[in-house]
Amino acid sequence: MKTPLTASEGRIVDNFATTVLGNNDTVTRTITIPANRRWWVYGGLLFNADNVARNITVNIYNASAQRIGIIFPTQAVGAAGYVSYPNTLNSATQWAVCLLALKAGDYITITWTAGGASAGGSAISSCIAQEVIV
Amino acid sequence: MIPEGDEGRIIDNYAAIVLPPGKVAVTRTITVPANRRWWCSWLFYSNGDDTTRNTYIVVYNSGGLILLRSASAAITPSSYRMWPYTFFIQSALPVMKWSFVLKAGDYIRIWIDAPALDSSGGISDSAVPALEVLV
Repeated sequence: MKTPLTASEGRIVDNFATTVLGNNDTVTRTITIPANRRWWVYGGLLFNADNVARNITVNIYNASAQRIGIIFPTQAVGAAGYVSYPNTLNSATQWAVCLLALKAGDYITITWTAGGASAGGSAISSCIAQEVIV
Repeated sequence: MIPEGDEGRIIDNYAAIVLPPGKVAVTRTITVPANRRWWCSWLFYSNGDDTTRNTYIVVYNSGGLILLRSASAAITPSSYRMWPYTFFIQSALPVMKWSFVLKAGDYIRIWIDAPALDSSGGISDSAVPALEVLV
């Protein structure tokens, strides 16, 4: 019997990046699945680098910009706070691993919503996935 | 046989669901085509109405027999739900790679109950991303 998505198949991508947050602005980072690729998404890390709390949301859209899922609902993250997504209601720092099948052209948006007058900062985020060629 | 990660194709089964104004129940049915097998990853539904809607998911076989049924969830305006649902997972995400596997002729029906109060109606998003393989 074949095994589902063998551990040695494809490659792991972490999509780590920094995103600049300014004073009281809303910023979105978009991560798109490349052509001829398939991602099995496990989740990732979100960091609010600002000195005020910000709501963060992670959505999934298809290539036609239609929302097909929400991997992290709008959740307040404190100043200089980390969360993993998806997480559990019991603990925002407890990673609840999933595995989501996304196709080429689908994209994930990570949005840091404005939280009021602030100093801004360099937020970080990741999206860990196993990428295979199709 | 369980597919490998690069097998078949991913489909998202996205569709907008029109919610008429008033107190009208709505369903959306998604059927697995002939000679296909679906490994469903998750199901997504948002409530585009201005009134809370009770919504639940039922999976049937080709004979109309119920294979799976979710609990009914009261979904507030502009809110959403992802199935399978667990109270322990923020936003109700699936915790396994394959949430459920369906054969040709099986179908998923999203049941959206009539609201208790007259509503303005609206457009809801719905999707069932799945890996589809030929059989």
